[in-house]
Amino acid sequence: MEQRDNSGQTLAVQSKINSTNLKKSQYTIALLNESFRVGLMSREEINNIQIQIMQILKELIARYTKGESSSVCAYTAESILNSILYCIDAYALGCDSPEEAICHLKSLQISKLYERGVKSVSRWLEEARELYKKVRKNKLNVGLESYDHTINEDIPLYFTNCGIVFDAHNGAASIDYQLTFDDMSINGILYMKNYLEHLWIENAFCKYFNSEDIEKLLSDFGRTIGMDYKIELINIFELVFNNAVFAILAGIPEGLRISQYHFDLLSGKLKALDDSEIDKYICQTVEKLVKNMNICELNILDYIYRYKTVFTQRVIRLVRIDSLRGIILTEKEEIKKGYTILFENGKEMKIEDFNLFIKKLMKLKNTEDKIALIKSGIESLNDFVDLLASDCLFGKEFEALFNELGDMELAILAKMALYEEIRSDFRGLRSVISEKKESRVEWHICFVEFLKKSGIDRIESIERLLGEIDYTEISFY
Amino acid sequence: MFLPMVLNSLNPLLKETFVNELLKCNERTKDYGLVLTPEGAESIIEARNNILNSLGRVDMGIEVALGLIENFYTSTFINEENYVSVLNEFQEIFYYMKNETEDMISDDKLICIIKDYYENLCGGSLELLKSCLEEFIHDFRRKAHTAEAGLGGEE
Repeated sequence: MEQRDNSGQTLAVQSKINSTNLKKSQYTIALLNESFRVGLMSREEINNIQIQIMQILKELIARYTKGESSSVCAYTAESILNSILYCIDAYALGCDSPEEAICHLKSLQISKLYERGVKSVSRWLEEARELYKKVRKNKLNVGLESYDHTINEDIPLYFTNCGIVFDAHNGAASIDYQLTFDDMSINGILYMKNYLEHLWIENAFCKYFNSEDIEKLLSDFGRTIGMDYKIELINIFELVFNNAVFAILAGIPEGLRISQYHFDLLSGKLKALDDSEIDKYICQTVEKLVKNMNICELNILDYIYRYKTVFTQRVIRLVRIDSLRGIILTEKEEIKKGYTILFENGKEMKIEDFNLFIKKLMKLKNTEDKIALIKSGIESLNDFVDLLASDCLFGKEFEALFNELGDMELAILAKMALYEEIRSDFRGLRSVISEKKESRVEWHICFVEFLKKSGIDRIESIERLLGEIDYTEISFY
Repeated sequence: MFLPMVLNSLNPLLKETFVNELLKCNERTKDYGLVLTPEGAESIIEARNNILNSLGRVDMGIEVALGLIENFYTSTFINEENYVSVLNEFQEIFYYMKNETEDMISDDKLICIIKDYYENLCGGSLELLKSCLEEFIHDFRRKAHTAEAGLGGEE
């Protein structure tokens, strides 16, 4: 392809530009660097473009300060400059090719390109707002906090604060809910538009399933990792897709629920296959899923097929290391809550009373006296945990105190002392305590030592109770 | 942060433009015995760049230096000997105050405040001026804080 610049020179450029050097997030700067590298722009031409950008910056600083100040702090200047470059990027990215963009940068006034870029960004923002309306309509009702918070609060806040002229480049740093495909190579308004496109697709796919089934699936996920799913940073689409495919593979006619029996069946089936057979098997199953569900929207289909590749690789890897539990969620019985907790919320001591209590406790020398005082004086979990962390108990005294607690209290303490371990890769409480590394908190160390000395039955009983503890009901701090 | 350094002294061509703009002021100031040489004008630009870099500010124009000349060339405390050095001190005081008052005072108003203190309260003493302006900043912040807290209380 040949292009002409304003001086009429022919640019035989296509073979020279290395497109891998052109990052989308800083496209204009990458274009300038690349065109200088291959000799398509002279230093003077680049200087001229820089001066024009600085002129725009000067005008925008005046607008930013409402004409009251010619200077701003470096942070503000950097932000405005990034917003300018973002808009020029928007124009350049809209060109048919990098060569065309370079040609325009050389031949047109940068202020004109900037104005056209502002229009593009403005259009993206409008599209993002429309997409958000669609996302609100197909939002899932599953009680996942990060998902609800992102849709109900983070994104509206982004739209409230987002400005095309001074803030176009600012991304949505506060968004918690992670998508399956999150394109971090782009930023600002385009990132938000892309995020909403993907979120809508993920929601639309999940809408093919019964919302009660999805909620049950999420609960099963929570029970599997011994945590309340509502506060976990999980992606709903992946969990739904994974179980939908595995359900078909297991011969379950519809839905997402996979029993232990079907898990064993599936596991056996997959282990007997080689990698290419698994690949083929999954391909056929995804086709079946698409057909069964009658999914025909092209963007959803694209997304499904894109994820299928990642999914297949993951399944093959997990089959080979015998860890399919990491991807297939089996049904878990809901355990009826038949426990009572020794501690109650709302019965916390005032800080001065608590300090007095600790002083009293520290005067006692005998362990039994200390335990008796704690049992009679501490009524809330918060106070109890504060007491554990207040350096007034030592070694064996911790053990004696833990011995006085019931399994539910111990399960609550286990969730606190072993939070990260239980959350990240829970393979049973016994393995967690045997692998627990050093802790800086003394009561955590003593607690793990105490559990190590406890019998298997007790550990199993505590482990069963871990799944019952609802973080929303128990406030730890 | 490198940005102030990059932006404040971006191009030699801009420096030349700035120097020429400063030299144009001589037409008005010469009647008061104040004439900038090209070296003096360059030194003002250099000082400006260094001040902006060290204070972490960005200024894309030369309006502040021009505004300072415009407001101070009639001062009886400024003569040919101290002209450039006093202007450089004023530039530093000006940008320092912009930072310390969090950009809440406009350029024009800030120059007027500095002029008022310098001419009337401090009798042309730069040391006294700096000390008085520290007090001004302290008061300004206290009032801003009170106003903010007052608004918060109403909510």
